[in-house]
Amino acid sequence: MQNLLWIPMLLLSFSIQAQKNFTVSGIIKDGNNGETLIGATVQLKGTNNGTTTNEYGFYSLSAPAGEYMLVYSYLGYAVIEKSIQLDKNLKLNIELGEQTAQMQEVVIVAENSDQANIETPQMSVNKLSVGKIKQIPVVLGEVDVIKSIQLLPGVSNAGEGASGFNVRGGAEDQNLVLLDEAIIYNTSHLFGFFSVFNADAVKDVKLYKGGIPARFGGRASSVLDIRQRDGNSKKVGLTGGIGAISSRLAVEGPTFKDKGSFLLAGRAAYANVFLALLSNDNRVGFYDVNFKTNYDINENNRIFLSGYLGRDVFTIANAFSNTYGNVSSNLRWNHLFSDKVFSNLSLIYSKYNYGLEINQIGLKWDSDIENYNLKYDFGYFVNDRLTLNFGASGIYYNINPGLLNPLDSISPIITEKLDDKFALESAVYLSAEHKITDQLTAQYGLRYSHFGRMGAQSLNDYESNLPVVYNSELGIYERGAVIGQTDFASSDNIKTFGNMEPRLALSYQLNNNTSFKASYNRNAQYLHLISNTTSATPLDVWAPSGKYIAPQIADQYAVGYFKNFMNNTYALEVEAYYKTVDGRVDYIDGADLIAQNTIETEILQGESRAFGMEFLLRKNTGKFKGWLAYTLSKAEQRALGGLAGGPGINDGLWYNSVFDRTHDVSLTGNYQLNDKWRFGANFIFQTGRPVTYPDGQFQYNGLSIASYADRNTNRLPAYHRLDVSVTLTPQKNKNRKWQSEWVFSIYNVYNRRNAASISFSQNTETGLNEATRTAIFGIIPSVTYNFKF
Amino acid sequence: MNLSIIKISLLIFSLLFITSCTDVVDVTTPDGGERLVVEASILWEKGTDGSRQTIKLSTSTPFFEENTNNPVTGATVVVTNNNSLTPFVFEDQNNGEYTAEDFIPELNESYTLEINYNGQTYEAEETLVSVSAIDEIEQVLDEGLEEEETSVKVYFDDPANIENYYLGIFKIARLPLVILETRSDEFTNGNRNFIEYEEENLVVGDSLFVELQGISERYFNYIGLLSEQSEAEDGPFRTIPVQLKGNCINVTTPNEEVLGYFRLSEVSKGQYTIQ
Repeated sequence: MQNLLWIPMLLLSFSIQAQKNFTVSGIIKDGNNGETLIGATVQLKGTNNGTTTNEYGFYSLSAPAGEYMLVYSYLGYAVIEKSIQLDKNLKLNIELGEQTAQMQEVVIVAENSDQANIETPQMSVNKLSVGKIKQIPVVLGEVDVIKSIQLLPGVSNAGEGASGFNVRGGAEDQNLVLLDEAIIYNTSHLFGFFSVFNADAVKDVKLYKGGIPARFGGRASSVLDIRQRDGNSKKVGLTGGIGAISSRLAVEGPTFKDKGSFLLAGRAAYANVFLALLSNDNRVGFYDVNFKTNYDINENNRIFLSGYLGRDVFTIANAFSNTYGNVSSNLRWNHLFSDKVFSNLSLIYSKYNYGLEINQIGLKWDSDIENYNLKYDFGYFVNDRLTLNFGASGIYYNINPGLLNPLDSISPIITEKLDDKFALESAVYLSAEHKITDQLTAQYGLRYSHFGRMGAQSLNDYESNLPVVYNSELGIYERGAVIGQTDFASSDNIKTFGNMEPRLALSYQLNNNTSFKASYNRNAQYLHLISNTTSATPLDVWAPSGKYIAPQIADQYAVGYFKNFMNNTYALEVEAYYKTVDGRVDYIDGADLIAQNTIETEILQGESRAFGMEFLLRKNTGKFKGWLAYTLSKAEQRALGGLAGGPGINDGLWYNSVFDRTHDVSLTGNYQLNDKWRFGANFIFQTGRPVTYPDGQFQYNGLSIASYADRNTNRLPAYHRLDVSVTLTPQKNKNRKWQSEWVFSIYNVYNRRNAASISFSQNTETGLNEATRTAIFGIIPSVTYNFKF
Repeated sequence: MNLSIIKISLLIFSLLFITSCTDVVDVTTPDGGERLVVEASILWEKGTDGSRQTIKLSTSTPFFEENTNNPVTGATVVVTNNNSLTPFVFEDQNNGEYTAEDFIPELNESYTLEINYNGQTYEAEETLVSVSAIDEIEQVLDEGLEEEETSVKVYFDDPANIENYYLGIFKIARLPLVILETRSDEFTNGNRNFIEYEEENLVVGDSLFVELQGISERYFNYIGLLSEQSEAEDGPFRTIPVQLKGNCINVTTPNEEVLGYFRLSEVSKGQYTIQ
């Protein structure tokens, strides 16, 4: 609680020295399409007084009365300077123009490049513009947000074709993935081969790996904050593309008598062709639709409505069919209480559902997770040294872990409903970004989160209150004996949790180009994705904390060194982190998780720890741009027996998490030869994934059975590959309305057969043991045609 | 019912890729050393007296060792009915097999296995589990991924009011490997239930031998894990393979890892010729 006390004291010290200050505020937009720009910089020239725009393009800057030169800049845009007479509060809405190639040659020094953020304490953040994501060569030409962030230091996944991503040794379910503030529960299409974000509809991608601001909560490891585009408010436009896997089309334009705009983007995959399935009745594919519109009520009020719908469909003739996906929508109201106080009220709905029908066994299965989220966030730009962010949120969850039904009258299946689960997660937060001296800036805050698991539900009571017990004779964990049941009514709180989550980040600026940063954050996570496979599957269900499952509590410490050099041509970021998570769910040997109504009988709660060093060297200007990322890290977990008795899972020993990568190198480059040709390449090298190899075999029931020992003590061979791409922009594009480009790419150029897994079994013909390697993507060439109208 | 079939369906998608991109590779596996393997399956076929029973003892070998015939001889093997305390002595056949000719199986009775070998005493306890009779074997055409596949469904009536666990063993003489399928009545209690056998390489005239065995919940967990871990399917949706811990314990040196299981099952047999 001591942390709480010094915040108001600091606030006080700064209100005392208030003098005659005025405020300049406004919205910064892209001059070409009217899109608001997130993270654009505003600076009073020759001073240390500057700020950046928030998620809605809003900025507010206060300074003593006087004459100033305001400098507006944004990555890839020409810098605008504006002289102002600050003798009253000013409203300045600014539109920035994109740098053209010609302009680059003239005002190359003025180019605002992707330099390391020196001044603000925010560290462990990677921001990717969609333009940059689109330049990265990808498998089958499918532009992919999730695959792109895996090229950044500290981000990995469980292998090719695996879903999700892992940040700094965190599990997949520890990432808070937000699309226009709505929680996306499954980021994968086609079980992990592609991600659910259509790049044509995305404006900004920001990944917080650490130093997570107090306004975010609910997940232990990271926040992936993705913002959709608002739509062109200047003119009607059409963008699209035809690729090997999917086709895209987006339409956007001004609406509401130029007081607003809209965007409607769709993408559909026709993987059937690609998979060359022979029967016409087989369907494999996905589609998604993104929608957004906004309306300027007046200077101080703006409303937004955005939505997303994604679906995967996988049908094999009459054998089975499988449908799943996310749907979300968000209604927002931006309101300016004054030039200094920005607010946003959001009402968000989000749902993930999974449906499966298997004809063979006559089973129909449905599960979903649904949430309603109300949040109110404020930004108070107090003065040139202090900005306050505060707000509150409440999320109501309704989880249906599964409903099993017989598919027809001859099916042996009995209708069975797994218990619905209900919970309310609420939070309040206050954080300050505070320039203590010209060199030292601090960002400190506190989040208080509260989680209430609610009825109605009946829960089993177990002997000695132990859902899992250790059988010391056999050396195995077994389900506890059920001795009764407790019924909770819908008005009952089954269990509540409350957590203080302090966040602190400091930046010490050595000079204009160099700074040191340090941060600490604590995050509480109340939902657990129940999955004991290498990579999460679409049918895995979320389990809320409650009577038998405690929340996960993560603590992360990070330090970093940031430097821009050679006239901002290069940026170097070096960070080291140490992270621990308490309450990490682990699964007992032979855990049965599918259609499991009592998850508590299958798990033990343990801990995980991760530490590492990340290096990111970027070249930001010139014809050649790119980055080199290297991560040296370790991620481990263990689960002790605790009250259940016994040594724990894997004999209570620490073992490598499946996403542990000792070395992870990625090199991404882009060479703009001229207006017509652009070349891209990336190279990736990673230590192989930890796996468990058999340590012997024995004869049983006429079969040769592999015996296994400790978990994840072996490794797959190292993973590496090279991808290249060439983008051709026909010259005749110039000054034409119809603009187009061709993207030719080759994934895995030298056709490395990277092992996604190695399995051990008997050959079905000879009966001899063998090791079988699965390599998913060999060399894959592809062509994509993109257009803009 | 074993819902891992759901996960297997999921895997089919990966298999679309995988079938065309798997190959056999050389891998060095660790050597966990020689361990005692107890294959003590007391099987009582319906309609027989079940007096002749065999228990096999062997030792494990390194994973890629092709000579897997490592019999253990010179042990004493006794199974005792825990209620009547009648001991049944299994005679050493000097080839790793130990045989009793006078065994008396009794449903729902618990039995104790005791092995003395190399100065060590091993023990295990289990109950003889009953099973419903196979009442029909049916050949069906399933809509497969690329073509129709033949599979065989073995039907039986699941008794209501009790939890039942089943092991189906399928064997075609022509093929080297038997197939194990487990099933519980968790979602089908009291209904007419079935176990399904699928094999890509079935040809008309193949003779399929089926055994339906009643098993305990603990053995169901063991054999289910064993069967899952020995299947070739792999990919991102597989769980980490783990040590298979059976019920045979070295009571002299409790930390010794003993492979295999002691269990007693009633068995219903069937035979079907593929058409």
